[in-house]
Amino acid sequence: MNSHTLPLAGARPRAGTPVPALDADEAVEQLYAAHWRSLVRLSVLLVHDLGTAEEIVQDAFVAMHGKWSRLREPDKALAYLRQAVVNRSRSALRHRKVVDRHVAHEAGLSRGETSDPAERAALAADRRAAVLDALASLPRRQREVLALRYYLELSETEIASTLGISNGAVKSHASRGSAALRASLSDRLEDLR
Amino acid sequence: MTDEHELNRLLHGAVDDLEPRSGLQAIRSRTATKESPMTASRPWLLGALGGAVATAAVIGGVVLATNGDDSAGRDPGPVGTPTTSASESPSESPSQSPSVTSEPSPTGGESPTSGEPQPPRAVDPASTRALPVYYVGEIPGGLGLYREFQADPSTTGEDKVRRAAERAVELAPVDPDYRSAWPGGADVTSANATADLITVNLEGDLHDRPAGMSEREAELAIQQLVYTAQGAYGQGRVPVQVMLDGSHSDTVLGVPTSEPLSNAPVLQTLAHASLTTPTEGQVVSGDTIEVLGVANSFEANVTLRLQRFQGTEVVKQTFATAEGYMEDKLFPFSKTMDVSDVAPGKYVLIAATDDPSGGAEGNGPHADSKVIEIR
Repeated sequence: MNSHTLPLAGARPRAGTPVPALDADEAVEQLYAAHWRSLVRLSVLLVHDLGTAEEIVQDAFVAMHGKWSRLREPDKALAYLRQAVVNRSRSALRHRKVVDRHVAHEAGLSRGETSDPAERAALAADRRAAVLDALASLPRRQREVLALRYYLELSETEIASTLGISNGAVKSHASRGSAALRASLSDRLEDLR
Repeated sequence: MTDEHELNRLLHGAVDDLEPRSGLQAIRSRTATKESPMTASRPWLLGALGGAVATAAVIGGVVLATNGDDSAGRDPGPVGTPTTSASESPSESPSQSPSVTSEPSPTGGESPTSGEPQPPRAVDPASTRALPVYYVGEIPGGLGLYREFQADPSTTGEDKVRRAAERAVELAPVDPDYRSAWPGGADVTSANATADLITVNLEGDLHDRPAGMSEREAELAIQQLVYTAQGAYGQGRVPVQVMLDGSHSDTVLGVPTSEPLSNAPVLQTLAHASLTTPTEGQVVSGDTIEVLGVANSFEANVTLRLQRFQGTEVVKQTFATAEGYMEDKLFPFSKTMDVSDVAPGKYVLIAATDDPSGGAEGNGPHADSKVIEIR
């Protein structure tokens, strides 16, 4: 048996060697194995809802499969997936008339410190709700930039190409976005520290 | 703490514990280019093939309860007392019939009490027991776990969970097709097993997933430990609590470990074909090779092939029928292969699952191979 290859790691050819013939199904499988969870979570940060996020990322994979003959390389396919997830998350939000953030927000504010494990689990859920809620209250670009930068930990250039904006715009959205997120969460940051 | 880190932690903290449902099947069904009429009639096959990759999303998930459906502890198909008639029978087992039994032991234990695979080259041939140890190897579409029985030098069987876990984490397998997913420097310091819980304590810089290790690999490393500990203990699917430096740790290799872990689903974790005998490097001097293993294959069909070492010439091909298929487990199979007309030399014995689609669906068959010498 050859030395094993990890998804993606093995799919990247060295310079000068022919690109291995990875077909669309294999590409989907590899990228799925490596990125399904993180892409769904990215989408949750953008749309605030796990079920919606799962659908969005599924759609993105299906679209990627269809475009594989053009993408051909896992790196490009991953960049395409990110872009598709961000774009589709945006459309999903647009179609959802009401973002029900008030319920979560109220619940989040009503809980105090506690040492009871069940309460603590609930508190963790509240913290999640608080962060998602604060993100939801940001302008769309800021939310996208923050999620790509602080969750996927992409570089400025990668974010710029994912969103189709300039590096300068990424910088300014990032700094305004962090300030706004911070303000929105200010009272919660203390116990999240 | 810097602002950067704080935001980083906030966003990760908000979503990292969300476990999306597996979406691969749905994606597959939407991207299928051709509809095979067989697809509908063999959903388990699709499931099995898809599982190998889909499992990345579920392995390592915290499951508190043991699986109710494998109470007999047969999963993943303990083969009981592997032995081989192709080489000398272990002399210290007078009750062992010369013919092979692939029956799981009644208690579901995975530690043979009499007879064992031909001791791996590197271990003490005087041993009387074997330890099941799980290692990572290639499976169609990615990585999976293979079981290797290793001769156990201990005569008492005491502390077998620790010793088996130690091998999985710290020692190289005998079969060079496999490896341990654990990074160097990882140590198993102790293990303790009760009816409800197996506790394995590790030492080393193991809290986070090392750079260069994929998530799948980290999850398989943890599952190596879970499957090995459960197999060595032999009391079924007892949850495994992984500890780091004597205390609970929220993660080990970046995989959540604060709660006891159950084994991840068999067909999404283990190779679907795994040979128990012959063992790697075994010398066969008789007219037959006793082939034992476990598999989950279409219609329980397991293909056995004997090929010239470093060649493709198939000198013998036959089939074994496993004791079942379809469920989330591996089933024992056994076959006496006649090699009386095979010229002496080095060969590779391959056990493979049946892939009636010829690779048209999924990633093709699972296979395990052993290099043997026929004299």
